[in-house]
Amino acid sequence: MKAEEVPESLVNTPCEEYELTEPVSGPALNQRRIAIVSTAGLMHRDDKPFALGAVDYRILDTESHQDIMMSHISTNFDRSGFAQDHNVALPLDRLHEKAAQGEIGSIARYHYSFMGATEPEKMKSAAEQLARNLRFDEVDGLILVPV
Amino acid sequence: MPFEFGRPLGVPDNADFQHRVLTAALNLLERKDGPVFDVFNEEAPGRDDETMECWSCPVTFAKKASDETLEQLVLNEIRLLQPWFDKGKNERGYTSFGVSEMSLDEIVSFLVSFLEDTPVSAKPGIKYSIADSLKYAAEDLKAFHNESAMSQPGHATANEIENWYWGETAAGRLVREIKQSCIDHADPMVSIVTAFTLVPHRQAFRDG
Repeated sequence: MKAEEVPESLVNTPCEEYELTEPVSGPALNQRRIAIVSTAGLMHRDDKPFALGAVDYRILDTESHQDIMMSHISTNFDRSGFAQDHNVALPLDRLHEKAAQGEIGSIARYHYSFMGATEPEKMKSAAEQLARNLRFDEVDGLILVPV
Repeated sequence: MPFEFGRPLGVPDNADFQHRVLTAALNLLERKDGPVFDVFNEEAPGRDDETMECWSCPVTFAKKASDETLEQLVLNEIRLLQPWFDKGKNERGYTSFGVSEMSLDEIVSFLVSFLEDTPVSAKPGIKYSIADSLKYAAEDLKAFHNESAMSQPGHATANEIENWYWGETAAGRLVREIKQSCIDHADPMVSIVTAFTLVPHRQAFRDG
C-alpha cells in the first residue's frame, strides 16, 4: 500500500509513544542469523487459528513450512498472493537462497507470526517472550513482515 | 512499499523482485543512524503481458433454476470448480483451505444456517465458537474459490479474483447475505464478525 493510500482514519489513530532507542550494532549481514516475524496471522495446519482480539503468536518451523496457512481476522487484504506463493508474505525460500549465496549468515530454526489487529500494548508480554525465544535461537537479525 | 495490500514482498512467483525487497529490508540492519524510515519505491511488476485481456473465469455456472436454493447454487458451483482447485493444490503441493476443519459440504450447510429463521447455536462438529467458526468457514469457502480461480489460464490479478468472487459467484452472494442478515444477531460476537470481517470494505458497494 502506498503511503498516500492509507485511510485518514488510520493516519489519525492514537498510538503509544515510545522513547527513541539507540540502534544497536551487530555483526556484518553475512554473519547474521535471520528470523522473520509476520503479522499475517500465519499458523501451521495443526495450530489453533487466530481469533478476534488475539494477542499471542504462532511458531513457524523452518523445516516444515508447506502446511502454513493464514487465519487473520481481516478480510480486507489479498490472500490469493500468499495462496499462490508463500514467499509473498513469508519469504523463507528467499532467505534460504540468500544464505546459500552467503548474503546472510544463517536462518533461524523458528519464525513467528502474530495477527496484529489489536492494540500493540496488549501484545507486549507475548513480544517479550518471543524475544527470549529469538535469543535462545541465537538470532541477531529480524525481518518484520506486515500485511 | 507500493504493493497490493497483503503482498509485502510485492508479487508472487517472482523471486528476483522478492529478493530486491528482502535485500532492501536486510540492508536496514547495517544502518548505524536511526530511527530509520525508508521507502521502497519500485512498483511491483504486473502481468507479463499488459496487453492481455482481463481474466474471466472459464467455468460457466448454470443459470439459476426457479426452484433452486442458494445452497444448491453454491454446491453446484463447488462441483464445477473442484477440478481446478485439485489441479492447483497438486501443482503447488499445499492449500490455504482448511482453517475451519470442516468439509466443503459442512461449510455450506453451516453458512446457510445463518440465513434460516432458527438462530444458529452450537452445532455438532463445530470446534470453535460460532462467531469464530463463521469467520473460518467463510474464509475457507473463499480460499477454495480463489485457489480454483488461480489455477485457471490467464493469470488473474488479485483485484480480478476479488471482483469475481464477490460479484459473480453464489458463494460470494451467500456470505454477503449473511452479512446483511446477521448484523443484529443474538450473539454479539457474530454481529461483530459479520459487520467487520466477512466482506471487504471495497465490496460493500454491492449491497448499497
